[in-house]
Amino acid sequence: MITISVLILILCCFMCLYRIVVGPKSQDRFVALITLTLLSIGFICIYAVLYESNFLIDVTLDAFILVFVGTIAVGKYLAGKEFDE
Amino acid sequence: MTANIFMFIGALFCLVGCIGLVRLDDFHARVQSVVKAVSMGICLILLSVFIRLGFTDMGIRALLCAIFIWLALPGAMYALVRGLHKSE
Repeated sequence: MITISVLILILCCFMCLYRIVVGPKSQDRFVALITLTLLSIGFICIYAVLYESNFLIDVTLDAFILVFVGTIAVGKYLAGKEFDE
Repeated sequence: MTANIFMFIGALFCLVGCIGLVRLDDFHARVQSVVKAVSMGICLILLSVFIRLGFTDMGIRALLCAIFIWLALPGAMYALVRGLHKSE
């Protein structure tokens, strides 16, 4: 059942790549890129379960902190403000 | 066995969110599909890791990451869409 989960997540990654390639505007590509990063967090979890290397759980928290700060930075940039307003 | 079932259901939630990302035809519809379904799926995968490891230190870190994604990802996406709405 873990193998089927990995195959489903690989299919999801190809769908996100389709949206990155043919996205009409840049914000569609950015949302697809965020989704790809979240799917990579899922891949890291399944890898840590399969190979019993538990320290990989730390990587998920770090990757999500990067996604969070990047999303808020792009939102502030699109609003046309400086970062300290 | 319970952990494997949680992981499979989480992968199915991710599949539903990515089908919405491909098939829907508006930016706001794509954003709400991705935020709801994919964050739920990733949280279920992290909860499966927590169920498998129990209350060890790495299991508690997986639970912390699941709660953080569940709380913070809709807020971040709301900030993105609000900035885009203000720029138009």
